Amino acid sequence: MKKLSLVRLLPVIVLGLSSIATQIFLLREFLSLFQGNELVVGLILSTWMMLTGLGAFLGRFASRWALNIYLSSLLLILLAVLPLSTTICLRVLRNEVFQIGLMIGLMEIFVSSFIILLPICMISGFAFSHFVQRLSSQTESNETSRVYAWEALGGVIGGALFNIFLISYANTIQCFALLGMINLSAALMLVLQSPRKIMGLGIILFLFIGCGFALFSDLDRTTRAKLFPDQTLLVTQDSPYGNLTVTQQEEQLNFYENGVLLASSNDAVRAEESVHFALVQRERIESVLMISGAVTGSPKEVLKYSSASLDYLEANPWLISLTEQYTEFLSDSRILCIAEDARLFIRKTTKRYDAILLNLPEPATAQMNRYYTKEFFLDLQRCMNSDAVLSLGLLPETDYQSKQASVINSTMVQTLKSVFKNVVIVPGTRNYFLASDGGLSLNIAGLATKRGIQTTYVNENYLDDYLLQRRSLQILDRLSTSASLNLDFQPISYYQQVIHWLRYFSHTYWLMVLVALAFTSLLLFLNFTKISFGLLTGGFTATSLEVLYLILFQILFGSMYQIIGMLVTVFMAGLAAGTLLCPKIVPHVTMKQYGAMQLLLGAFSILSLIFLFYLGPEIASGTLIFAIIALFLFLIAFLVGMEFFTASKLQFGSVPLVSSKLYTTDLVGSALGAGLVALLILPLFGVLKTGIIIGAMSFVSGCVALLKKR
Amino acid sequence: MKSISKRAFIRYCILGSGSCMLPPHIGVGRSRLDTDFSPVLSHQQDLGKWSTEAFFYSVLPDGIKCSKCPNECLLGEGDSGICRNRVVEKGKLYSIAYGNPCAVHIDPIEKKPFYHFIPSTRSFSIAAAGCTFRCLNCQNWEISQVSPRETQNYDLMPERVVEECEKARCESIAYTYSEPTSFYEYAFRTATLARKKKIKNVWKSNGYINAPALRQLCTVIDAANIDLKSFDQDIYRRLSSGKLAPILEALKIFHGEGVWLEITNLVIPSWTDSLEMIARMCDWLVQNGLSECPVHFTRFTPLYKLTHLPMTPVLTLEKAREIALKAGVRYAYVGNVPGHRAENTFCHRCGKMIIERKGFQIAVNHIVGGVCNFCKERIPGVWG
Repeated sequence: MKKLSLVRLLPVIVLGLSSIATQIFLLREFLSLFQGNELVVGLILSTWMMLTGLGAFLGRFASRWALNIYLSSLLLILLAVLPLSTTICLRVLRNEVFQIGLMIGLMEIFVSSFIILLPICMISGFAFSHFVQRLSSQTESNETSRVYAWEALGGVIGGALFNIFLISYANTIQCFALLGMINLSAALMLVLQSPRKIMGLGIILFLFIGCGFALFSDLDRTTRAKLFPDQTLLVTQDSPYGNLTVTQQEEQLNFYENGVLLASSNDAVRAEESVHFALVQRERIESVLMISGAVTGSPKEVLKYSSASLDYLEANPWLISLTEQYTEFLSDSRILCIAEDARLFIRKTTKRYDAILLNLPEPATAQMNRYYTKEFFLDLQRCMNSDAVLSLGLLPETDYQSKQASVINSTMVQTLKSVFKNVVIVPGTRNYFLASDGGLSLNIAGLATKRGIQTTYVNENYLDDYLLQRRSLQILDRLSTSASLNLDFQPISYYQQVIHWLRYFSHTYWLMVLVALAFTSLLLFLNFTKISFGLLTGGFTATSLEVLYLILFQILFGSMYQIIGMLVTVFMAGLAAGTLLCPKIVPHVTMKQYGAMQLLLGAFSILSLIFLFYLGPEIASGTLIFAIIALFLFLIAFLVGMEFFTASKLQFGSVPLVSSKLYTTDLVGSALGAGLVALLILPLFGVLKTGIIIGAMSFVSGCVALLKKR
Repeated sequence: MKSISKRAFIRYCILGSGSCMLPPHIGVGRSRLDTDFSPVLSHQQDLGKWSTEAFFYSVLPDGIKCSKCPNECLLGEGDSGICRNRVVEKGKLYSIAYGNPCAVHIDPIEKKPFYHFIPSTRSFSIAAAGCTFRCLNCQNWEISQVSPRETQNYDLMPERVVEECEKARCESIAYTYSEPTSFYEYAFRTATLARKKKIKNVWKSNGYINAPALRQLCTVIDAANIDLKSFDQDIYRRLSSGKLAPILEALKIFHGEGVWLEITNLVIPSWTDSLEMIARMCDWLVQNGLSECPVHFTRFTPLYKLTHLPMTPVLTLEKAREIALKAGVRYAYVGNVPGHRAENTFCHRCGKMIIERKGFQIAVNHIVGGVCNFCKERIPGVWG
């Protein structure tokens, strides 16, 4: 293998860096414009990979311009400009294309993400093929695997720089401006090698100034304000946990997280319901733990109980400071604010509480679901006094409980009942689930009067206890006693919530089947072979496991965004190392070795998941589990990197054909893995069976490689 | 010793007997309810007992034309209307929501909202699935945007509704939650029976109904609260897939036929919060003799598909109310803001507070025999 100088490899590294950074930040933009559940993430990621694969596929037809320096620089210039311009367009056009304030349906998300991502992803995929051809022409050998490895290394740098470091200090526009400058610098290096430099230099300089303007101007704020029409934008912050925005309209303050309203001021109903339904249950309330929701004003409701002190837990420290800055809800000395993930805090606290108020969004994502599982409820129970009350809210109030709502409520009641002796549902603006080992009453208004609590809404003027009981029992009447429990390792609630959300748009899971069929058709179109089959299952297994590990890690240790960024970076490093070191480990590749790699990958998937399944926080510390997960991720990515190298050597054909085919297949496999595992396989089958399904895929393709004659 | 009313005594007895502490297992104690319907899974595809031949349709050469609401669906064999609960079978139009409600509750009448109609009473409230609109912010989309074939329903024929209403000691039956125009036949029959028993009938609706159907309805309905969602045709189309003009016509008919009428205007930020538009709406109400109809400006909460919006600022609602009063609307209220001063009723003549409301309860009532106790002015409404 001929050596390539770093200068020649630089565009490839920049491509990798650019791809990962664009993906991270654009995905966040999409989630704040659309709806942030797993289905949407899966759909966007799948669209992303599919379009990138398509770009790589089309790249094969550009072989005659393999050494054209202008094409290389043009691609880098486009990769510099597109993320920034796409983000600006997204924000400015959101309320022009769609109705103001409208939640966008799955089909519209698919179509709009397809259109929006088309230029970026196609160019990114096209650039991969082009750089393979360029370097292959320079070295006169097939450089597919080397480009794959160096692109992954670029991903490592991008992941580290943007996802771990810059995400805390810069907003999206600034990050994209910086990314643009990096791409433009790489393009500049290429242009300087060309005979006619002036025009290229002029364009790059002009764009550099544009990026500089975006970096130092208020463009992020100006464009984001377009998302909140008729409101004055007071502050907008990109935190590692997502975007937080505070707006003002008349006298009212509105708090948004990723574009979704967290709370508006003067909402007594929500603040009171989330507190008093639970707290009136006990004569004396001394210690209360509230998990999130301070912006609604609920802390001041807790302090109406004269002897109460409040521990307020919020994973996002940015949200605590905004609440402190714009409200007085957290200013009382009886409130202790703790910026920590609830699961981590609960596991280590020695305090005992009289009530725990869970004011979190619904379990519509895997990340949120872990606050609604039996395991978490057991943890909560350990830090509750013997007759303490737990309160949580689900689904907005309606006058009818649909079958899907019954399914959701049944699972939650059964999960709570598996831990607590008594469970009741109090219908309010949401259905509030109260759980306790002591008695529970639906005589809410009567008790509020008895306790002498002064309220605006939770009192006998608004609530008729008899009617409240009636409604509560009507809900309970329709619940199933044989519903599945929501478990850490079988997170059924978020699947149920996604199904419920789909009903808003009369969509069903058919769309996923359609997307899967589209992928399959694409593969058939690409002349399916056992090499590509192996790569497809390799991509599928690797991405599925990456998703599974991330979900597992979050379940066990909370959503530590930087750590997740680190794990993604480790994965990219494994890919790069596997591809680069494969020739040293396996000097002469054969189909047998290719098959053996897949069998190894399959076995490793199953065994690693079994190992992690039984390695709970009781056995190992967070750091140790992080180290183990990082090691596993690295090894899996390493194996997939080796597979890619082997496939590139075994696959016959011209360089453009081989590179585009392998890269596309790998991406399609990854797209299937990202979509299907998070959305369907994990919630339905749980962690262990999912591991077996994932492993089986690699086993099958491995056997095909070993048994089938070429 | 503090005296308590008869109603309060009964309520305390009910609560005291059963609600102090629930038994350990959920669902126990259900028999305490004095109304105990069995949910019926009615997913029958054929027309069974829960269907009746629809009113207001005609057979045309190219299909069956339903003329109950301004959608005026032209349907072929097997088709169902926009409302999803009128279907064609064997050349006839049937309502498949008859005796088949999916929601049955008891609510305070103020919750509808009715502030000038038999206040402090309870209303036996029913709904069958279906709606003539497609509102983006529908609270009850799970029943309004589906057919009765898709919901879990109760077997509750009109006679039984009236019986249950009497048993629950409700003074009215409310046709509400979804769109009652879509289950018109069921509502009409129930209302007819209820009237014979001196039970009042209240209609909570989008007002999207054609004149003949409405005039017939007015013979059995005592009060209506109509959602006037905006005063702009384009907003109506985008927000609800409906038209403004028929609703304005319906308001005039309700009033002309002597049905007590209240109007709800949900103020949605960036959609229906233009004060200029609200002023035009109020002017129209006054010019068309509806100045005595109370108008409720209610606060929006993000729901259904309109989730990327804030709640309505209270100041906007207050401004809307001021505009209405200035235009000549005599009674304008702020809704969905608990504890707000504009939940109370102020005499249009002397300006004194004549009803002080605390939530759905009346704390002070200065209306005696339908007139203001201070200035003796007649206060429009049905006071009991």
